[in-house]
Amino acid sequence: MVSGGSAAAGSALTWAALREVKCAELEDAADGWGRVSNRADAARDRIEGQLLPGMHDTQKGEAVGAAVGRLRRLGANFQYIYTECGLLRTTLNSLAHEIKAQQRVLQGALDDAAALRFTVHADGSVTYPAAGEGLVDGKSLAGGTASGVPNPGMVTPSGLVAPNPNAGKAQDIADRVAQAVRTAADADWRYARILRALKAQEGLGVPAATWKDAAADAAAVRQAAGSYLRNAIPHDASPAERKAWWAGLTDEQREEYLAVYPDRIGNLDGIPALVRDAANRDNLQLLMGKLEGRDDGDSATKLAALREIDRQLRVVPGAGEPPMYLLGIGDQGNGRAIVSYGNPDTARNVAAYVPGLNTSLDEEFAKGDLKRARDTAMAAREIDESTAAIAWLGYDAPQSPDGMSSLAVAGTERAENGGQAFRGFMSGLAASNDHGDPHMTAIGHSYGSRTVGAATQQGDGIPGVDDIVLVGSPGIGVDRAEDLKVGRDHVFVGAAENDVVTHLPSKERGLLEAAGRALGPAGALAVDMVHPRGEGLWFGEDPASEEFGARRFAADPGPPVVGLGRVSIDAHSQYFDPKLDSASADSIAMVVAGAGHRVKQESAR
Amino acid sequence: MTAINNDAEFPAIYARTRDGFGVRLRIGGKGQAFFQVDTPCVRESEVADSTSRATAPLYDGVEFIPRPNIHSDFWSAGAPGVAASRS
Repeated sequence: MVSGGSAAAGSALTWAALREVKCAELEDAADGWGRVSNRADAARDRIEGQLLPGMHDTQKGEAVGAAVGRLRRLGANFQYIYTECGLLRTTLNSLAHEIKAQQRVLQGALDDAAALRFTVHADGSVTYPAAGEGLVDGKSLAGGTASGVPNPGMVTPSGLVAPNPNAGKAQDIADRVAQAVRTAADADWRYARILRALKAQEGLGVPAATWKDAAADAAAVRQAAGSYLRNAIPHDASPAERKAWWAGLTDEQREEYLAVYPDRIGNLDGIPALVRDAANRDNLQLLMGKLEGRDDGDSATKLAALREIDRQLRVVPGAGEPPMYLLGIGDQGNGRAIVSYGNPDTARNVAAYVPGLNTSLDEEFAKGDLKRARDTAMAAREIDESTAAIAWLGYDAPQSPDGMSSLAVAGTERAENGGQAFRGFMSGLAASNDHGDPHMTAIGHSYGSRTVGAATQQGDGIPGVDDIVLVGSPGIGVDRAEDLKVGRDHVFVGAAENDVVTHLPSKERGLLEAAGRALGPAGALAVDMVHPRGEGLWFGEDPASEEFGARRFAADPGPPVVGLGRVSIDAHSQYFDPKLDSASADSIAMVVAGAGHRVKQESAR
Repeated sequence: MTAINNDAEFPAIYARTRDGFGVRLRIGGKGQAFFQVDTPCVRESEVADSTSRATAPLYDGVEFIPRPNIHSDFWSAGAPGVAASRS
């Protein structure tokens, strides 16, 4: 490092040594690691994108299984190399960035000293010539030597002697030299620790512990590189400005952001879908590594979901199947996951589905909710191939384990917060889409429809959205379809006869409470949510009603609430299912594909 | 018969028996027909791929199945050659 291993003490580094540090060499080394990282990334792509998919087509027998296993491990090796080399690169660049800053401080001090004809000694002290007048005899005051202190505020000058005017200037120069050396030595020490920690375990396997270690590495590098990279990420900018920011970066800068901040770039609305997908796939590995090491129930639940998503991402789509894009992933709150089926930047039609009550990042979400988006994409592509459908878990939906009272209080707050996040996401999609004005659809199921409703009430409605689909809705907080700001002919509602949630807004409270009791905790909870402390219909008019004025499409009545000897709320959960209710699923898909006006209408309630 | 959409461009018909066997026929974009049969299935199970050969080249990872480029005097729309030129 800068001055050998003993820089930690701060005393071993001299200003002369600091001046001579060749930061360009550090940056060259960083570029070298960057190239290795890129090669590893390309190699992983080749293995996972070309070699693995082709194996079963061209080979038969037991050797295939063995070869696939080996190739998978090789792919994991390359991914690990990509991640760690990317971190090395940023660490070196960041070190160079900090050293260069101190070199500038040092050079400024040396230049000032030269202009004043002061002498800067090897130990950092500064000698100044005689100058000024003495208070008593008027003779010029003798010169002297000032020694720098790294923290000048700590020493208060004595006011008793008339100073040589050069003394103060010399002190300032000496202090600046000392500070630059001290700060550079600190940086050297910090980065030396980080670089020493960037090492892999023995052997070819990349076990969970290694990814956990990689997650810690990334955290360490991020902390050190804060001023170098993070502060430049335009979190407060509009999606269109973020898109322009990303487009203006060099390839090297993009690679560094992806290596060090996959979570920030991956979840930044306005960034191209392919970039988000690449960042989030890396982040998924790091998140799984982070959660592996924990033994609480919440982490285990999220980890199971992440593993299932990871499994699906690795499956090569069959002919005619939409590819998956991971547009968001996170473990904050109840967890975050945004998955698109079909590329939302190239598709003419883009739809996002907002799930509802009791949805969180668990295995059920990873299987069931993702399947809803996938089924919707498949059916919509029958009408128009240029379609992408997204499952959007970008907010904390209410959870029944929260308890009834907390849910009643949090009732609209979660929808408001979720609505805000959803608006950001949709305006990001509108900005990153290649088409001038893509056809966009917002789909809300259950409490998700309340979230979509909240999103329409902020600003001029949901950015870019042309059509809105509400299924299994308990009401959305407004009384008329036109209040959703897309025109009443562009609001579509599915409400199954036996879906008790869709009956919640009705005024027949007696019936409701009976249904709530019949349903046990979940039903009572839902009833409580709509009628907190008996204040009435705070979710608004029934979207399936005549008064609301939306287009209602046919939905299978679904299994009765009480029948076959058990209580069932399955009628609430089959609107997207191409097997259980293909008519409803196809109607949703037609709206998504931009053919909403051709959906078969059903009379309102 | 559970639902019928007699739209001119995207007609569809859905039928289901009481025990859960279902049939769906739908005309999608550019006159493509989609036929689907469902059985009530208790356990999740693998469904084998079709053994008949497709008339278009199909392989894993091809996102869009090519449109048919074979002309039929009976089924194809418009003058001869129109369907073929669409491919």
